[in-house]
Amino acid sequence: MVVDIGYFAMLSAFVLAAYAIIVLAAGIRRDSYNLILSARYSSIAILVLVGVAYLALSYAFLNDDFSVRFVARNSSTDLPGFYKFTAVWGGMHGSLLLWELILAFFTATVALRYRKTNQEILPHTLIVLNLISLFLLFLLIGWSNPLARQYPAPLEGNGLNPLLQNPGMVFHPPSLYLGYVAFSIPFAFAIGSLMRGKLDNRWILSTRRWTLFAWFFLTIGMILGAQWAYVELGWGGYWSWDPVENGSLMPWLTGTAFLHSVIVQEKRNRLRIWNMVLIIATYTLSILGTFITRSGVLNSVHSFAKSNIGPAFLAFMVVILVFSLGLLFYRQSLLSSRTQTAEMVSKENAFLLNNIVFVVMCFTVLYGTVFPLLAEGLANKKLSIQAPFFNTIMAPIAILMVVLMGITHLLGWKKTSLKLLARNIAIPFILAVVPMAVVHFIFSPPWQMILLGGTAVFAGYLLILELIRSRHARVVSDKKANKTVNFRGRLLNSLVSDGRRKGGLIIHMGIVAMTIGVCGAFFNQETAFTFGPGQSKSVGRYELKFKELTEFNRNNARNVGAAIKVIRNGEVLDILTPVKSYYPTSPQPMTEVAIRHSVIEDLYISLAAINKDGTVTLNVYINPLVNFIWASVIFFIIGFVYSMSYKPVQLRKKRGSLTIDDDE
Amino acid sequence: MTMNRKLYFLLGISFTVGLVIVLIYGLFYSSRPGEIPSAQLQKTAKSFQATTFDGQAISLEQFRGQPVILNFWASWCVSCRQEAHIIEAAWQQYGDEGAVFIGIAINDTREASLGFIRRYGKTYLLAPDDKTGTISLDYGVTAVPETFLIDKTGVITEKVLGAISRKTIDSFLSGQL
Amino acid sequence: MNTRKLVLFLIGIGFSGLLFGSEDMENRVREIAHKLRCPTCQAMSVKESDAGLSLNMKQRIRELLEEGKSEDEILQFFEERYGEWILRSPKKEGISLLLWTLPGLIILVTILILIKYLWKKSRDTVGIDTSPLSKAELRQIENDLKQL
Repeated sequence: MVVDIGYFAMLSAFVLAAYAIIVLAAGIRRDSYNLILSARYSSIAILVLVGVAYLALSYAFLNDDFSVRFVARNSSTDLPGFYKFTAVWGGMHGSLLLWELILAFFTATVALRYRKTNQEILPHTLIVLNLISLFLLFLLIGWSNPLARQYPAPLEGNGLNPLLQNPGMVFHPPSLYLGYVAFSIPFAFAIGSLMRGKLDNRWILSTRRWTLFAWFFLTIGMILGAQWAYVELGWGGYWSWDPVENGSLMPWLTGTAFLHSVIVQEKRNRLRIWNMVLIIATYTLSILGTFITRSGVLNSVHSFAKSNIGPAFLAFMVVILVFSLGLLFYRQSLLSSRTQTAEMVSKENAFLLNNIVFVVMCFTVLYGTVFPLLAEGLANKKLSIQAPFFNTIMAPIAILMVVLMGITHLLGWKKTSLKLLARNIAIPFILAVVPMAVVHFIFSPPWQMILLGGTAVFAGYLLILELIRSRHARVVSDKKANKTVNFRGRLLNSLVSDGRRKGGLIIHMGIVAMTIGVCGAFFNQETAFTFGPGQSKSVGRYELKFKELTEFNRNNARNVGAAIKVIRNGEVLDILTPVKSYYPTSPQPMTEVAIRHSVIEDLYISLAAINKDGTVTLNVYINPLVNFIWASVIFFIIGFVYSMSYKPVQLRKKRGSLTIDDDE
Repeated sequence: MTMNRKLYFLLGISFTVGLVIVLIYGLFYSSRPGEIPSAQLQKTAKSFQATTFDGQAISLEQFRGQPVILNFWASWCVSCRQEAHIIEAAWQQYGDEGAVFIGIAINDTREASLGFIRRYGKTYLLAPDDKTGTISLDYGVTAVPETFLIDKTGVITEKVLGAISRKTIDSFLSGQL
Repeated sequence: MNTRKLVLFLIGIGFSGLLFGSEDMENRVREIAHKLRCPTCQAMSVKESDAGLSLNMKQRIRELLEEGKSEDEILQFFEERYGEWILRSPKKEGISLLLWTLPGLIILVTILILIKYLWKKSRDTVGIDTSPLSKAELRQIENDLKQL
């Protein structure tokens, strides 16, 4: 019953999305406010209907309704309640529904929020958003209906893939979807203004926060995915350049380029066509990422998600590309920038270089990901392109990126005093070179590590100096203005003011932390050995002593593991218990690693085998600095909050002015 | 500038079209990701020695002049069950005509292999690979089951991934016997 | 920043590295295994995989090393049997040259075009307006800087 209501709700939402598109088109044609109003309200109705469908699916999961095929495939009666709730996005059909739910929510937000501004382009923007919705709903009511029934209903479901029963995996997909879908808002605004032919900078200003939001959640989603791989896959690493990972990295790279280049348009009114290209690319790549994940065209560890939905996504991608690039070509004359002059070394030119770096990175990832197809098609050769290739080819570009990141903050728009620049970077440069020289002579790691680590440290200094300087400038300007501010006011002021600059600096510090964490991988150590109860083995600074075999139940799995005492300098630091988990629904046991975290390094133990004679075989990894990667999240969150607090000057309410501006 | 811009548009569009063509090729025309052609096709099969489960020493050389169907299997592999009867039946038919059937069990325990042999009533030449998988590595086995069709002159003519079908065996042997 | 700490970290790690010295052989096996793909897995190397075939391959690498074979010879050994597919990073020859060179080529060409374009533009500027920035412009720049 509930399930049928849910399906009916999806059908109605599909019809309503089609209705909204028609009404919007008619409204634009006849310039009718009421028609457009009707379409705006229908986006709220679509949100409610999709919400009902989503709740119906959740209800089916919570009640173990195995007559719903998707539930039977992705759940079982013994699944803990929390995972039943999150299993909705444990398979493709449900993830699509979650995707559509987020899109419906964002569309409704746009329809309500921008009712007084963006009047001219809002109808066009809503057409684009509703078209995307229409496509997703078309899939949901047809090919990949998550509410499809099967009779007779099985008594027990296949169970949720044990790999997905992990907190990191629970939040990884929704976070990525939030990012992907949020990028469709600036995309829709861009296409909307192209359709309307109103091509000032308004769409950029209005969607600034959406872009930030999208970037933030895409970043968090990828870090969660990496963290999931780290604790769940048991090979000691977090990023394997798998096609699906690359699929999420590509829109992140162009999205990051976009995030920077819109600033150039906002400040200097340049790069107007380029920004259109970037947002179209970012959105298309997010679809491409889904295509790669779902079509099984390329090898992937995520192959459990294989389906026949590939052609649909490919067709959708082609439609988007043809439509938006065609539109861009048609409107190009409206987009020529008045050439603004600038000296060679200036902020805008640094941003241009930054864009080249990001786009080339994205191209390289895309190229490496699809090259096996190219090699097969052109030379009939089967090739594997995996981590060693990507690490080799991406390292130099990443080094360039980190250097640019640090220096750009010191440059001014239009012109920069080279003398001042040299003075500002001299000391940080020396302070970065010296420790790296020391590292080089003691450990002689590969040159990539030296350069990447060195540039990260260098950029880190520059960022900190900038942060201090921006606070200092504030104090000075207060003094000049003869403002007497008490200490608390000053503190508060220095904390909340200048959000955009601080946000950027802090997020960049997160990138520095992450880069240092990545460099730590060059010092990874690993070993494998077999030992029996009571025996010990020294690994790095640790002594590992096999205490006993243990067996216990956790959630719905039976765990068999080895309790290992971790000893350093005769002191027992910890007892780690790597286990094999036996899930009732899965024939193969899962390997659950045990990790001892510390700032300097992780001690990471995975249980390779429990042997018949009572000994165990362990894979032990020591991963230095890896926690810097997870710690970067803190910077991203703080920086994100700062950046969101900033409102472009052009959009701020002017006291006494008549225009009501409720953007953002 | 407009010249340049046209050039850039052209570049961008050809890149996009190229990408779409590659994806369409990948979706509809390329081989499946798991389909790995053998690097040893049309080359002389590597010689190997093994001792069958019933203690008979065999080597590939002794079958020169006879077509050989060399099958890699394991008791834990699901598709191997699918093809077990097919291979046995083919052996019953073509064995007298001079075709040689060899099954090499890889990454398996002796007991499990024997249990599998009994369960499916296999009677052709069955031998375990050694502990370090010498034979399967020499043949570049990527997964079980995999079958190599070796002609009378000792050249590998085909590699079959997954469960082999009767049709494949028939058409191979019809040209060899 | 925390350079001192960083150096301390790295020194600490270095000492722990000394303790690994005795396992040179295993490290070489891993190094080579990292360059070969696990035939049954997806994006993993033989090093990272505990699948039966990967374990066999690791054992074979060890044997070949003990026989005195070099890394190149061992990679060659596996390539002969499995095809180039087994290498995780394609060789720099034939069609793969296209893979290795294009990204670098693109970044070089784009940067050259950019520099040429910007150079021309900054020269044009000099021709048009050689006077120093006006006070208003300077103020504008300062404001811009503050907003950043």
